Amino acid sequence: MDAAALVDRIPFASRAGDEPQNVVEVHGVGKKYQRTVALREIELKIRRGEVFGLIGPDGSGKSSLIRAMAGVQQYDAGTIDVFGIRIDSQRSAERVKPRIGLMPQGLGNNLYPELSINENIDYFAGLRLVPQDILRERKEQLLAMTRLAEFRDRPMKQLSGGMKQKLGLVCTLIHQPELVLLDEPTTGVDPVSRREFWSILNDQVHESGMTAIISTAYMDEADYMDRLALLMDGKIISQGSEDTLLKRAPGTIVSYASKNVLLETQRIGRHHRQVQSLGDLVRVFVRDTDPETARECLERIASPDHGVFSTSPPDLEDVVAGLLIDDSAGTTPVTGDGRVDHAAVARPLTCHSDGSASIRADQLVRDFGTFRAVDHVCLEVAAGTIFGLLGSNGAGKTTVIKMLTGLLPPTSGSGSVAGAAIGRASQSIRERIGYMSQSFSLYLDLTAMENLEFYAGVYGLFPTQRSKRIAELVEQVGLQGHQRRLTGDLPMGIRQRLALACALVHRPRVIFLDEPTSGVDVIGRRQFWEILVRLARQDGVAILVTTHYMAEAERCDDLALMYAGRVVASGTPAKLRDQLHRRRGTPLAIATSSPMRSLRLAREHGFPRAAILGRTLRLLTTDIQRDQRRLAELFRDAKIAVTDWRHDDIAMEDVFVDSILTQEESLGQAPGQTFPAAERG
Amino acid sequence: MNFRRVVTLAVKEAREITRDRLLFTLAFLMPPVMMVVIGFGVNTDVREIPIVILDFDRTSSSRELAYKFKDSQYFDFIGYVRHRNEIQRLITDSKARAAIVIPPRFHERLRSGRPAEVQTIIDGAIPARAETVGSYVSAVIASFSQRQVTDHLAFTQGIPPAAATALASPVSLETRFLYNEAMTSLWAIGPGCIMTVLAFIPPIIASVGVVREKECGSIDNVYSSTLTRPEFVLGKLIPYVVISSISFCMLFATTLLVFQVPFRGSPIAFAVTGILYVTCTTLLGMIISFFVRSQIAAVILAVLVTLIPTLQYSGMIVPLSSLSDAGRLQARMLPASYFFEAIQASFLKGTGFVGLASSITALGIYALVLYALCCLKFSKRPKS
Repeated sequence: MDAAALVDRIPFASRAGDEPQNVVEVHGVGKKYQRTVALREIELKIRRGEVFGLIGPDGSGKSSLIRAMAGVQQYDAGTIDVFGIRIDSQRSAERVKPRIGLMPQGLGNNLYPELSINENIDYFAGLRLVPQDILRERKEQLLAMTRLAEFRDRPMKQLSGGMKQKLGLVCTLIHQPELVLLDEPTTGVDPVSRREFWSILNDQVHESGMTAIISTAYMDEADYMDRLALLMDGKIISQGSEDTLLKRAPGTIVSYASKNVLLETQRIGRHHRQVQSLGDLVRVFVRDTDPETARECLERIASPDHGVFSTSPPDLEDVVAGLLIDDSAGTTPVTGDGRVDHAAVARPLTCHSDGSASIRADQLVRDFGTFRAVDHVCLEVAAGTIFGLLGSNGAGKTTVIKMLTGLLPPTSGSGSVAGAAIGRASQSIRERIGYMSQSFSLYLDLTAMENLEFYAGVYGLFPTQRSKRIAELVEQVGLQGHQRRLTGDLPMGIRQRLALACALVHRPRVIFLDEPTSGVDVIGRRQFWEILVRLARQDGVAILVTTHYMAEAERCDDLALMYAGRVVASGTPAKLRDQLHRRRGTPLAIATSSPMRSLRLAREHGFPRAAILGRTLRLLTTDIQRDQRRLAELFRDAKIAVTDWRHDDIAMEDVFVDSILTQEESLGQAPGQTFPAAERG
Repeated sequence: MNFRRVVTLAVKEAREITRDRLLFTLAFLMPPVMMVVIGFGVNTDVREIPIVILDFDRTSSSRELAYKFKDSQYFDFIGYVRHRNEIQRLITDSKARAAIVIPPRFHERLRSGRPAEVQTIIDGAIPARAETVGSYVSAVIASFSQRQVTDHLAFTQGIPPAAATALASPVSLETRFLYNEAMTSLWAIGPGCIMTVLAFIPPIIASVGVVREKECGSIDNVYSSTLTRPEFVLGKLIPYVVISSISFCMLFATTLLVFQVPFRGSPIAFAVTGILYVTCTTLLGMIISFFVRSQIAAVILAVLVTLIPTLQYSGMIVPLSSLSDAGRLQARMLPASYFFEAIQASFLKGTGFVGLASSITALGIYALVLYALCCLKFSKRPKS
């Protein structure tokens, strides 16, 4: 895949010979902010013409590294050379700035809300002294490519998330930099806009031969990168092309259905360290084996009533989790230390379900002024199940949760939580639910224990009950050994479990979790989900969780995909996939020598929803034989070499993208241009 | 220095300010409002002091003394009281600020040529005002005594009252106040308000203008671009100085039209000084913005750093000449002291360019030094 992609670029040629081959060289770089270490011993070499990715959770040091390379922030140790110039002073940093472009973190944060698209672009061009005639030409070209041209006089504050992000890119590219540094440009953006963003970026890199450094928290975007570095706690834990990274932890993923997923994961967990439960499926990473041996291996240890084994190669997330586990081998496993209350688990899953749902929303609507943040949303969550509310930033997820928890009165519609109607009985609702907000409401200057005691007090637990309950919680979420530490010093993964414990202190029957895993690394996320699954299955708690990680969607029992305030698709993950399969067929992934040209061709010839995913063309087809033949002819005529045809399984993202496109078509809008901008309430 | 970049930045800034409702209000509405609030609030004139009289004598002499108070424009005679306790109660309730107690046999003592005593009771809660009230009371009493003497002389010697007056007080003092003939305090305070308001509003809007970009991250556009530090400071400075100059004109007009303070100097010379002054205070705001990260911190710091020293050391409340050497040095480190000199000279004394030359020079140097400091302090590659 790597080689095929590189043919497509114009690398290594244009520059004079005295310029080094590596655009950026980072050697032994370290950076500290007061107490916290942001970067340690970073080593990187970024080649001309490549798309280089920095992948890591929030707080792993991506921004600090990007800002140090862009010469807009100092670092404490080591050296950074950009275009062969050592960046060690303000003066030397100024020398590289004409040749670089930086798009800082935060959706639209570097743009000016009061200014129109046009004025924003002119400002950036003016700062960069782009000559008027070139500016005019380049602006038209970039606006056309990003499909922003018709909105050029609209103030930036009225743009949707995806449009802000495209405008940010236009502003960063307006002076044709040789090196662009993009800090989390796709965080919080819906998947359709994400795909479009990557297409535009790849197109630019490919056409102009520039170099791009991009950070992201999404593991699945590794597909779009030539090479990447994985960051954790300020360290690079691995780097190289995606293929070479995948080879670091070879093995096979085996997944199968099981009657009692929880017990099964515990059982398998004694033999294999990477076991996950996805709804009714058990997913095991069998290290260092080919599919055949992996099957045999599991046949021996799985419970006799297991479903059919299906195997697949591990994805990057599995590999990274594997590498991290290897790294920390010998340290304590953090959760679920293997002991299971068999009696509890054996109880039927729907023990609490008496036909009425624990959470129910019926035609909920919420307006902010003229802007409809939530548009007739219906959902039902039964006791003992996990319900996932998915969507990009501003899709309305948080507003739905706020209405259900009684923090915000709905404009119209009704709902009930734990048997109490929302709107009227918000006090009684609050006593029955646990709520973990986006920015975990913990006191960072208190220790973990003090936070727990505080919440126990707030919820009115008697002192005698308190210590007993807290001990239970510490055990339940795996906080052993951290009780006496200051919350501010805890790693994100632990902090998030502490926040969960605080939300559980009064034994709520219903819990709401608003983006609980953003900013947490792969391992932390997986451990957190194991806790959630146990809470639902063992204790019969109804859980409503929001996330923008597609990978987490698979772990929910039920899903609702939100887009621009509406639920555009809902059902179990399997049902959603099945529906899409029946409607649109299966995904066909085509690796070609020129992804962008092949995309254009495919779109013009009957595949309007074709997209570039990573460096492969991806489209849905109901008749694989016929379409493969047609496309092969098309590409042959256009002299595009096809290196690989692959039939893929439907991913959750395919479902989401298709639902959004259908929604937009029915509204008669161009994709990704939905209005108005969804501002947070 | 590339002027296209400077203009680009200045234009962007101006657009943002005029379109952002909060900033617009802060920039254009706040100064006149503050001006009126401070101007009418700091009226130090003591007039129409509510006064009561406890008259134990009840004779023509005591009534004559009472009429002296009733006639005075400085006193507002509320009425007679019957008992000492009433005085206490009225003063405690702030219904009266002073009381005059005329003892029994007042008339008799006067007639018999013996000294008579009159007691005054004054609300001492605000010492400066109490002192003024005390002096007014003394003045009324003194004029009453004088009248008694001349009447007595005229009666006993049989001479006309005018001759008796000349005999009784051979030297009479004739006071004339220059520049502020009526001693209206608004004439002194009003123009001072221009200085006070322009001491803290420009720093607030300028520091917020920079810190806002820091807070949301758009400052990175500046950090990562080729805009130089002097260009950045100048580009940010221009729109805020223009806005503050407009404020200056509005405040100038308020002083003339609302406060009705006469202006005797050269308007152009005064405007030049004013623009230099707002340039200085705007630059102060920019320096503040380099030290803080949040808008709220910027506002608080801007007020603390500018407003309080300005009130203390500008010369408006305490004249510079009565400060200690150290105090005077501190005062001279603030732009306000130079501007206040210019205000006094222009409004009441009527000086033109020549008289303001020293203020203009001082403020010009001050602005240049601040500009240089801003350029040095601003870092395009900060520590964090």
